[in-house]
Amino acid sequence: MATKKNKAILCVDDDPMILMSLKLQLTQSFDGQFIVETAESGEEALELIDFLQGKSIDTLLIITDWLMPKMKGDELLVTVKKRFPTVRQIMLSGQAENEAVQNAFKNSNLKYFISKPWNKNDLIQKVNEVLKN
Amino acid sequence: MKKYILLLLFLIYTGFAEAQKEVIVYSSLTKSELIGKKITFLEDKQGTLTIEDIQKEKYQNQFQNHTKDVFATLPSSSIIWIKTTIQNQTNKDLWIEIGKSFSCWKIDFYRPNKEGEYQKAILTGAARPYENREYPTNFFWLKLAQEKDTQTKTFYVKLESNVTKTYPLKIGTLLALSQDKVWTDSVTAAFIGIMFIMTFYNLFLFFSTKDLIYFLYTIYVFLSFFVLCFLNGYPIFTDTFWWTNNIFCIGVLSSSVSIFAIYYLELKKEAPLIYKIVIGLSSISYIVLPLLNIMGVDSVHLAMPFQTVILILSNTIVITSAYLWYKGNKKARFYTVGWSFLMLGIIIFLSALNGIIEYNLFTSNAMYFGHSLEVLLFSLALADKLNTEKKERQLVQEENIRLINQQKQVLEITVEERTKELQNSNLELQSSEEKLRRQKIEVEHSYKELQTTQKHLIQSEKMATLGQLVANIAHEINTPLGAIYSSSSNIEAILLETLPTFSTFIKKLDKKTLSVFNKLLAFAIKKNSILSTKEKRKIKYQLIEEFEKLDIENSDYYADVIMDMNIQEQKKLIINLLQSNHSEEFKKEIFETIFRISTIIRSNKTIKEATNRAAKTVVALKNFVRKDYTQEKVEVNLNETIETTLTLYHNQIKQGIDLNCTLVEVPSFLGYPDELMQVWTNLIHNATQAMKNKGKLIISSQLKDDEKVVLISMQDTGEGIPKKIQDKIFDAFFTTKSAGQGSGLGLDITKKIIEKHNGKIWFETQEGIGTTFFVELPLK
Repeated sequence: MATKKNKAILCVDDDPMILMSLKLQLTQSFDGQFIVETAESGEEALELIDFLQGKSIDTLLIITDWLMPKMKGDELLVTVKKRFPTVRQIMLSGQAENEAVQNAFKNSNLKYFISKPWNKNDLIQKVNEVLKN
Repeated sequence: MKKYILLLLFLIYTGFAEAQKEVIVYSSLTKSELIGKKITFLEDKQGTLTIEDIQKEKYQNQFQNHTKDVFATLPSSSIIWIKTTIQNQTNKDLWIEIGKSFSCWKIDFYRPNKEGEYQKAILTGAARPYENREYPTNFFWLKLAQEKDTQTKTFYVKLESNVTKTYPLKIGTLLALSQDKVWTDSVTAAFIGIMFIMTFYNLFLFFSTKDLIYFLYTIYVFLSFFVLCFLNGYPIFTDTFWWTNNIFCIGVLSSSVSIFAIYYLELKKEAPLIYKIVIGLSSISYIVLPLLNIMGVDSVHLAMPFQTVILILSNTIVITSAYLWYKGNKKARFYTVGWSFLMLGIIIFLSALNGIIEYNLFTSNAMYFGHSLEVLLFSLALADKLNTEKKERQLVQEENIRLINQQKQVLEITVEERTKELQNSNLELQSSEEKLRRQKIEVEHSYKELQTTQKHLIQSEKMATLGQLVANIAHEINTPLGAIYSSSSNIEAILLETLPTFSTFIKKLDKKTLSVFNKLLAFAIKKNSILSTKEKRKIKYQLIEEFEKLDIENSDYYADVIMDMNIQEQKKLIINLLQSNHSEEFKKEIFETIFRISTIIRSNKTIKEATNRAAKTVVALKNFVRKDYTQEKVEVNLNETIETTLTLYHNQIKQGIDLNCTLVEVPSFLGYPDELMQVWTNLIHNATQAMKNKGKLIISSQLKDDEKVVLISMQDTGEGIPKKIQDKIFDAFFTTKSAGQGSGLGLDITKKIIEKHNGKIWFETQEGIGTTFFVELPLK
């Protein structure tokens, strides 16, 4: 039986292009150490964490966009912190309201805010850093 | 006056001497002689004696000598008998003159005949018929002796008068008496002349000045002329009435003296007490006594009281006048001096009567002279009054002129001031005008500025809208950039990893596997995923379960990659491959390679897509913020303007709004595309706000009226527009948004732009259901 991965990194963005690229980068960089899951909205992300938990998969990290329909990134992170306090958090966004970002830093587990377009190495380095702690 | 003087005379009079027979021998032909001193007289107090009685020795002895030239006594009812003895030595007739005054009331002249008998008296006098007079004169001439009759004769004259008896007895030839009379007549004529002249002169003055004083003076002068002439034996009326009622006549005529004095001296004002006294005395002398006289009281009883009152009255007036003169009254001076002349005349006359001075032409007529001088002086005084008045008038006139000049000056000053004021006003007006002009310029300038401002406002309104879109735009740009960047780096990574071993890998593939490889790769490249992540995940985990049942290792990896490549439909082929005899490592390498190669393609597609999206956003932005408002119309592709706007709003709309956009092909027309985009931006923006970013936005267009008109509708499912603001939403600066969120110009500008395109904009709204905006644009 092949070793089944039980650790996941969750990417949230309303743009499939971004999700695809992001997933690719993470997969390549960590060479299958983690499951890379994607969600197109905050709601889906929360659902997904639950779903993964059901499959005994720990979501280690959530990388989310900020500007999304309905639930915004900071809102998602705050909710995630409440429900899944151990999930690490990174925000990757092309544009975000300052207030919202401050809100996220204050009320969630957000460690880094990365601007789009992002540098792959920078992203991976920050992901590594977050996962280490 | 005369009576007054006579009274004085009486008081002085003392000469009573023993009757003395003296014969007057008269010889001169040309010179008359006063015989007062050569006569004897008898006073018959009862008045009962006759010529026969007189001739008796008893009465002859009662004759007294007379010592003065003129015989004069006070008024009494006594009868005077004059006795004179004369011898005519001239060869002419010898005459006697009894007198010229009205004292000659009744004269009984007894002339002896040759026998020396006194038979019948010659009855003459003022009160006797005129035809009784021996010679036609008022002086009562009586013949004494015929020419060449040298006999010495004694004559008796019985004189009766109820007034003062004044008899300047004189004898002479007719020649001598006439000579005297000519002089007396001349003096009287001169006096009358003066009186007439003065009368007319003052009357003239009265008519020219209308001053009552001249009229009173005229009356005074005229009446005094009557009185004086009357007294002096020149009566104008010879009726006996005048003689019997002489007090009445003199009184009434003399009243003018008091009236004139009262008016001339202004006694009522200057001396009120004297005025009352004068009025009182005048009433007695000029009213009471004359009335008594005319009622039948004999003048002889009234003469004394009359003369006394007149004396007091005239003295009172003269003294008052002198007093007023002393007080500085100029008119009183004239009055006093004038009356002094009259007084002087009277004194001279009295003196002559009393023998103090010679009784001659001058002295006997002194009253004429005095009165003339008085009248002349008064006339002068009145003329002076005239002059004074003239001067006063001149002064008044000068004063008036001065006042007029002063007023004129005041007026000039006023006019000057007014002029200045007017000039000032004019200047003010000019400056006001200038101000107005400046204001007009300012207003024009402001208007231009306003126009500019309006343009700026339109622009800033646009920029404000844009500002609200900045988040979207940044996202719209950064997202594709992120995709591009990551994709390119992914491609790079894949190529670096795959290329060096690719040929070795390919050589490892057998024919059958290669065909599967190619097939799967072809699918992976070809297919674009239309599934959502959720759907994919569902399928993925189904696949994982399926693979696990089939004992396929790394099931989660395969499932994941399959879903990423969207080749789940080739499940059978894939399972076959995975269940083949190839080593697990090789199987994984095959899948990984397919994934990598397809990823390059997909990433490339992503890059292309992202580039398009970014470019589209940039173009839309560029179109949107374009500032150059060229006034010339350009070709408008209506659908393009709507789509550009939607591009900018893409992200916002996508967030929660279900957009349904169906646009018909519309022929291009001339217009202002950037401004139309502004319209769509406003409408879409308002719609998304009305819906609070959640709802349905239906945009559609249709051609109407033979394709001449296009109707665009934008329907939202917002809250609708409240009825009370429906009328105002197109008004400038009307906004329902809080301060800073909107300028309130959006729909105003929208409407203006539509109108600029000769179009129409209107809306239908229902609260709680939504609003539809309609824009109708002509295509030509």
